[in-house]
Amino acid sequence: MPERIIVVTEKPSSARRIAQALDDDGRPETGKIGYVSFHVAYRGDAQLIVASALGHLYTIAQDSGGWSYPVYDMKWVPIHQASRGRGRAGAHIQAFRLLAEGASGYVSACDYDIEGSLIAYNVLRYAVGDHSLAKAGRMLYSTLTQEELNRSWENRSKTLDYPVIAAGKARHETDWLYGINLSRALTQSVRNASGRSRTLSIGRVQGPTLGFVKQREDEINSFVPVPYWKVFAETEIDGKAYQLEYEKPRIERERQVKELASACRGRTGTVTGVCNETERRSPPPLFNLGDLQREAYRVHRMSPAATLAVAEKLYLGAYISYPRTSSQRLPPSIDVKEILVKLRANPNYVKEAEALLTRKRLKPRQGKKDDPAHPAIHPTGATPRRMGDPEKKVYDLITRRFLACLAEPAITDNVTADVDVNGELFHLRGSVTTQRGWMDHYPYVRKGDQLLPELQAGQLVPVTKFSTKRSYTKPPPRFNASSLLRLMENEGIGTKATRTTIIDTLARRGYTEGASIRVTDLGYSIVETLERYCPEILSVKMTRGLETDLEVIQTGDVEANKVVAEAVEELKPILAKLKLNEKQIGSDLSRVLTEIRRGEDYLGRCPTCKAGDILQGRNSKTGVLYASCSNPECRQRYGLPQKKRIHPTGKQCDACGSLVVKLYFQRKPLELCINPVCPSKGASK
Amino acid sequence: MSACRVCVRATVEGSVYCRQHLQAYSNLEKAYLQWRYALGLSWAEYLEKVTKAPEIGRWAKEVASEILGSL
Repeated sequence: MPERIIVVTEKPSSARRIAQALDDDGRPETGKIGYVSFHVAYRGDAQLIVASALGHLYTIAQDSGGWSYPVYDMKWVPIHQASRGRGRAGAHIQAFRLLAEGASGYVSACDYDIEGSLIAYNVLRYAVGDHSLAKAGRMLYSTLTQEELNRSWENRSKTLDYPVIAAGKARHETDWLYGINLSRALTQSVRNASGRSRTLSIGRVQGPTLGFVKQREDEINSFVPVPYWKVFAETEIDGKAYQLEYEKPRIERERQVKELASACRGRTGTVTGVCNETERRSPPPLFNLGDLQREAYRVHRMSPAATLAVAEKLYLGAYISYPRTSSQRLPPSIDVKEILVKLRANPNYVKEAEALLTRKRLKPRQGKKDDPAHPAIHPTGATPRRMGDPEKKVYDLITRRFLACLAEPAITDNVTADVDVNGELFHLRGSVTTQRGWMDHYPYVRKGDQLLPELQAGQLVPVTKFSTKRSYTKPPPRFNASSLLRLMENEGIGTKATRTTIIDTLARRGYTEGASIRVTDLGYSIVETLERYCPEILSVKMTRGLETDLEVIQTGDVEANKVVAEAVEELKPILAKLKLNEKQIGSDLSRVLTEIRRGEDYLGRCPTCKAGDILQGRNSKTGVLYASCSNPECRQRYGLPQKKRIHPTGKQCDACGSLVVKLYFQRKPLELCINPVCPSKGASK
Repeated sequence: MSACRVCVRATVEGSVYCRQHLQAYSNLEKAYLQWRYALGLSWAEYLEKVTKAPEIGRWAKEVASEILGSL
């Protein structure tokens, strides 16, 4: 009887690819248990059952009952029992149970990171049983190409990567402990203070991240601009205009500006020196995930989350290497020549690949950042088929960056001439790229040439134009997804895999809004309340410390249980503080929630009493939507169209003076008078 | 603790402003030194001009207007 080995993968698409790669004939059989597909590959004497999870099949839940805090007892449960919308997870768990019967060995073939390692471990431990762990090994790979998967199978380890699994478990447990307790504390405080049932949540990394956005909003709101002046001057040489750059980019005093103008306007300057410099610009290093997300945002305005999703898709298609990496380096084990040969088959890169293949030495430019698990993001060389527009854009960025990192440096000749105009120093600057090098392979760089004529010391240059302009200093810009991501990276909070999700979560919960990220009133008041009563939740230092501890678990130097226990010890005084100030926190947050609700329901000033506001409301018994005046002495009340969101317009009806509101019928806006007996409506009938 | 001169928030101890407006006031004071150097303005002239400057922060504008009103 052949050896029967269960291969656990992370997603159905990777299961198919792995089965194809490992099957001797490249044609594995496909079977089904319910609607869960699995693949049977034959390799030598072994029968490999390749089955997939759907990401995490298990999650953490409270062990005991009740809805209160603090809560420290937890257990791992099937995800469909804890989260809505994950019903299919149960079928996958059942499939693993059935497939594992009679298996002689197990291999984790999930992505090589803490999430992947944990997914396979949980499947084996909880779905198959503890006994499977002793017979389980691990495949490690960075691309889903046939060659690498085969190599990875042959070199698979005989045990699971327990330090990585421990780090993954500890991260999930710590995040759960913080998330559940802090969110319950906020929600309960509002419920106790106002009876309002509104879920408010905050997490270990969300707190400091929201704090950054709020702090930036504070800086913008308290910003005081300061005036300064800029000088614009021009000269003409051989009938062509050139910009004269004043030695100071900014002048801070009006009197100096006037003095400078009277000294330079209409005068002739003298070239006092000419300096030629050759600038050598090395190619940029390959992308890690953060770099790729920032570049995709800069070049294509793609959000970091969208870029990650597209990169994942390209990885699962075996077109690029694993994208969740911190590395900007390619190890020598990666055969760049082989990738170039494959890229030559792609009409988009044939010219560049051929040019590079003629080079004697192909050494990629290495960046500073490294990741022990995965190399920098690079193409596998396989020509993608049927890509959508976002995939094409991201793939082109990755591939061109790869080509660029193997190319020669770009060389630019820079010329700077010093020009003395009546004792004031100006510069004439020019630059010419003499060797484009890697810039030919990577068109996403901005570098224009500025030609200068031949200049010599003593040459006279007339000031043909001279003007000054008053400007004001600007407040710091609001964060966008890319700059917030960079700040989180620099501050060392979150992981490369979770940061984008955290930014999206803040927006989904109504704490931030807009592409130019602005903190909402709710987000602002949450940070403000926490700053007042429990600033530890917003502490970057505390979060960073915990991140470092969680990282160290992977090296095996620290025990995961110890880190989780320490996290609990840090959490205890925070929760005690929240409990102590629960009444105040609840009252502060309830006030803001009431104001927000009022703002959402506000339709305009009451046209009848002119003292109250017309607010939308819903009958608590019948659920009927209506609008009425907030002034208890005014009886003004209107019926409203049901199941439509009503928006204020700030306008008054010309016919009856009532409010005009806006609603949408099949996405088309419609403005109408709120008064059902408005003469304008009668006339239209 | 009393209410901020500009908004309903509680004042910072020893100040007539809340934390946010106190920060704005502090920025106004610091920026005045640069405005005075640049244009040679008095405090009142400065407040008049700074409220009309582009991109002045909401709180800074509120504090400047409040001080102008009480001059």
